[in-house]
Amino acid sequence: MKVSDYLREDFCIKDLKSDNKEDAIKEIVDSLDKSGKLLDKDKFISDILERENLGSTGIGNGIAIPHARTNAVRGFIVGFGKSNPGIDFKSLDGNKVNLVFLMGADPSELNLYLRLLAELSKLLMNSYFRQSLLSAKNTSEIIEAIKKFESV
Amino acid sequence: MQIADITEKKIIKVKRSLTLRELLNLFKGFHALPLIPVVDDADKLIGVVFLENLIDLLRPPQTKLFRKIPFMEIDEDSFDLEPIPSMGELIIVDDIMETNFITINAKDSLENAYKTMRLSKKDRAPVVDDANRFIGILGIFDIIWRMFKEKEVV
Repeated sequence: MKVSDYLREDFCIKDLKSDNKEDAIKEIVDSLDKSGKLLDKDKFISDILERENLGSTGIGNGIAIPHARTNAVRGFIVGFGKSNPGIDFKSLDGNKVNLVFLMGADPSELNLYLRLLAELSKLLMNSYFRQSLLSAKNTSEIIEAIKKFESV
Repeated sequence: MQIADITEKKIIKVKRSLTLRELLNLFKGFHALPLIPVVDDADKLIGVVFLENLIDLLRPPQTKLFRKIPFMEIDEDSFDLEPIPSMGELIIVDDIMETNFITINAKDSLENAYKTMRLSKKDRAPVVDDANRFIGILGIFDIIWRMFKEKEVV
């Protein structure tokens, strides 16, 4: 089980239109609608925002991983959005966020959820991986970069 | 004899916004994995953290898949995935707490509490009042001890 097993090209947004956290989350969730795993889109958005209110998932280095365990999702989903100008996510280091991975899981999927969250955080520590995502020209290059660094 | 009389009430409770780093520091020095109740501002029980779940953060995601294949030998103790510093802030109690768990009502009988815990294969369970407010933790040995006590063995 890897992030790339769940992240499809059409769940990736190369250039986020949104310039703030809430809209960016909504924009990525919109792209996940076609997964068929969103049982209640509005609830998923509000659960993600509620989780953000408990503590920002902007972990620094231009990365945010908004996530929620919620019964608004069936199984596990992950989406990605890139913002070149950056979005204010109230990150730990105070910097704007360029790379947003958004994760959602059914509450019963705790093990899978924690492991993929840990795996993704580890991948994102790698500055070469972050650079590959930032320089990706299209969504297929985003998926390629993830698969390449997952296999390292 | 009521449950409330033998329930351990001096228990560390946490809020769902507590970070993984704060949680680990709070339980530094504990030798076993405690059951940690998660309460809201009204002291109502909303979840339970089993520190066993933290082991998942140390294991690569592939392990779970391989475990289903009988002939694959898995070293259960392989901590291949090194936790990264930012996980201490990224992960909070809300992310790791179990929301589906058994509770014992403080007014219940010892026998019923014993049966509930045996059936769900739990050796400890949170005790709540009628309004789901957290009271304490009951261990199965507390019940067994009390039974011996009633027969004047101890």
